[in-house]
Amino acid sequence: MDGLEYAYTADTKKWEHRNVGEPNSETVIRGPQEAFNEQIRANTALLRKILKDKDLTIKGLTIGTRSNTPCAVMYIRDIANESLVREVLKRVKSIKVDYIFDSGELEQLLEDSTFLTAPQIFATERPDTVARMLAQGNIAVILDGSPYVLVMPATITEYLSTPEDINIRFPYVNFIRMIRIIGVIIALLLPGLYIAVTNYHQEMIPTNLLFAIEASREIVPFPTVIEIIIMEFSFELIREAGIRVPGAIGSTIGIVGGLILGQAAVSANLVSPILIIVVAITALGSFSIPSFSMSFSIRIIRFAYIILGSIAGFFGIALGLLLNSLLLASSKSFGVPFLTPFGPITNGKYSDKIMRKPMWKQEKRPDYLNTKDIIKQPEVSRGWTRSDEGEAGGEDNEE
Amino acid sequence: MRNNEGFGSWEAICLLINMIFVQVILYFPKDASVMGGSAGWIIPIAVTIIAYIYFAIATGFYRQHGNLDLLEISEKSAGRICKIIVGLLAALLLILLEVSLLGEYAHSLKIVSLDKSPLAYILILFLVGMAAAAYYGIEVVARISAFIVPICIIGFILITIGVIPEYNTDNLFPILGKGVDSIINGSTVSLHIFSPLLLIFFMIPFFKRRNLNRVGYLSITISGLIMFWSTLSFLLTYPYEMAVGKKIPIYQMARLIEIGDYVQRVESVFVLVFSLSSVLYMGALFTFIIHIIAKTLDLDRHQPIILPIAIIIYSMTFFKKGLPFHLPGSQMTNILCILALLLPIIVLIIGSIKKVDSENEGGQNYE
Repeated sequence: MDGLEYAYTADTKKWEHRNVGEPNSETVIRGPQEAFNEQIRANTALLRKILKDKDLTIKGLTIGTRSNTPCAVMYIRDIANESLVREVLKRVKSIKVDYIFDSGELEQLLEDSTFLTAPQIFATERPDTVARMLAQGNIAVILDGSPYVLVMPATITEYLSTPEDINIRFPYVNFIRMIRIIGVIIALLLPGLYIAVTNYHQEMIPTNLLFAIEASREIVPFPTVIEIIIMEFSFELIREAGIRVPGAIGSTIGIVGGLILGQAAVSANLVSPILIIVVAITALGSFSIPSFSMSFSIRIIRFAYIILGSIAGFFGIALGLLLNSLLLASSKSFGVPFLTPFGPITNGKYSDKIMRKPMWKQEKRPDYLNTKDIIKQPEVSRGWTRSDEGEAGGEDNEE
Repeated sequence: MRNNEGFGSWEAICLLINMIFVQVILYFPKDASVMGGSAGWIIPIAVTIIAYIYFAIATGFYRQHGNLDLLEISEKSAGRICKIIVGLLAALLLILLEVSLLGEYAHSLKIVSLDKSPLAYILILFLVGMAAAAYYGIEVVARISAFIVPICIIGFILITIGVIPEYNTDNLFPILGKGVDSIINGSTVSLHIFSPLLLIFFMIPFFKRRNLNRVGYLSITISGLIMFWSTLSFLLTYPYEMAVGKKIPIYQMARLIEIGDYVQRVESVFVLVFSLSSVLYMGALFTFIIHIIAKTLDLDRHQPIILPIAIIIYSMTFFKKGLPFHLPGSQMTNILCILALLLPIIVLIIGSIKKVDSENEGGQNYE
C-alpha cells in the first residue's frame, strides 16, 4: 500500500464449497440450467452476470449475533419502490437471533403472517428467476449458506408460473398455464367435490357410472370420507418416504407405494377402485403446481375441503371457497395484497396475470409494485416491424 | 373518521350486483309472473327504470357531500343523536332483511340439497361464513366479490342457455298479461329488490377516486339485465299458470336441461352457484350491519360485536313466524325495504338543507 513501509502477507485459502450446479426442484426444458449454491459471493456474482445494470444495488448486512451470517439485499435502485426497500431493510436489520443457518428460517422471520398456509415470500434457487423479478421491481435477499434466495413481495401469480413461462412461445405458455390452473383446481377441489357429489348430489352422475360406483363401493366397509382420508394420508406418507429414502430406491418407493399398496387396498376391499383414480389424479394435479411452498399449502387446505364436502355437499364446498378466499384476500406480502391483481383488481396494463401476452406487448411492470419506472419497453419494441420508408433498395434488400 | 381502507368501482359493482342477483335467482321470476302474468318480463324493465330515477334523485342531493357516508352526513347536519338514529334505523332495516333472507335461503337449500339436515345446522354454516366475512371487513369482502360474482353469473347464464330448447314464445301471450295496472303495481312493489342500493351510501368512503354515478348506474343496469333475462327465460320455459307454482325458478329450469347422455340433471350446478352467491351475500350484508353499528356507536374495533349480532340474527330467524308480520315476500317486508330506500333520500335532503360539506381538501369530485 502506498505510503506504508511494511507489507502484510496472508494465506488466502478459501472454504470448500459446491460448484454452481443445476436446479434440483425447479427444472425447466427451455432456460438456463444454473442454480444458486451456498456461497453468497457466488450467488451475487450469478445475478450480476445476468443483470449488467449499473443501478443493481447490493446492501450487505449481517444476521445472527453469534453466527454473523452474511446477508445481501439486492434491488435495482431506479426501479424498486423506495418504501418497499426501506421496509425490507428494516425487517432484515431488526432480526435478533443468535444463529441463523438457512433462508428458510429467515423467511419465517420476515413473513407477515406465520399461520397462513399460503406462502408470502417467494423462494427460488434459480438466478434467472431472481433476475427477472428484480427487473420487475421486486427485492431479493440472499443468505450465505443457503442456495434458496428470497424474493418479495410475492403474490399468487408468482406461485402459479414457472421460469420457463417467459422463455417459450405465446401459444405454448398459455396452453400450459391453462393446464396448470386446471391442475391446481383439481388438486384443491377434486376429493371434496367427489365426496359432495357421491354423498349429496348423486343426480349429477350419469346413471351407468353411478351403478359402477355403487357396485365398487358396495363391499367397502368405510364411508367415502374415511376412504379418502385414508388414501390421502397414505399418499402423503408415500411422498414423504420417497424424499427421505436415498438414491434409486427413492424413486422406486413411489411406484411400489402407488401400484402395490393401492392395488392391495382395493383387493382387501378397504377402498374402492374409483377412489384410487381420484387420489391419483389429485396427486398429478398437485405435482403440476410449480412452487413447493404453494403445493404444500394446497395439500393442507385440501383436507378442509374434504371435511366440508362431506358435511354439507356443494354448500360446504362453497363455504370453503368463501373462507379460503377471505383468508387469501386479507393476507399481504410486504404491503401488497396476496391476491393481486385479482383482488384488488389493479388498473395497470400488467400483461402476465392468468394468460401471458406476447413478448412485444409486455410494456409495463406490475403496477402493484409501484415502481419508479413502470415502462419496460415502448409500444413498438420490435423496430423491424416498422415500415422501411425512405430506404434505398428493393423489397428484398439485396441492392 | 377518515377511512384508510378502500376498494375500486368494479369491486363495489360486483358487491351490489350479487345482492340483487341472489334474490333474482331465488324468487323474483316467480313473483314477477304472479304479479304480471305472461307480461311479468316487463316488470324488471319498469323496476330498473324506477331504480334509475331513484338513484338520479339521490345522487342529485349528493353533490356537495364528497366522500361522506350517510352517518357522517347525519352527524354533521343534526348532531350525534341524528347519527345514532340513522345508524340504528339502517342497521335494524338491514337486520330484518338479513333475517328474512337467511331463513329463506336456508329453507331453499334444505329443499334442493340438504334435505336430511336440520335447519339449525344449515343456519349455523351460514353464520360461520357471515362471521368470517364480518371479521375480515368490507374491503376484503369486496375484493373477493370481484372474482366470485362473475363466476356465479356465468353459471346462471349457462343454465338459462342450456334450457333454450324448452323455450316457447307462445308463453309470452297475451303480451300485457294481467293488464297494465297489475304491471304498474307489480313494478312498484318489486322495487324492494333494489333495497341493497341503501348500502352504496355507506360504501362511498371506500371508493378510491371512483365515480359514485358509475358504480350506481352500472350496478343497476347489470342487475336489471339479469332480472330481465331470468324472468324472460322463466316465462318462455313455463306458461305463467305453471310458473306461479314453481318455487326456486332457476332450479326448476336447471332440472330441465338435457343435452345428450351426459349433460343432464345439472341442478346441482345451480346449488353450487346459489350456495356461493348466497353465502357471499349474507356475509356482505352482515359485514355492513357490523360496520354500521360500529361506526354509529364509535367503536374502535368491530370484531367484538360480531358474535352477539350473529346470535341475535340466528335467533330471530327462528322467531320470525311469531312476529306481527311474516317476513318473506310479504307486503310488509316490501314496504320496509322501500322505506330503506327512502332513508338515504331523507338524510341527504336534510344534509343539503344544512349545507353539509365534505372536509376533503382538494375536493374529490364524485360527479
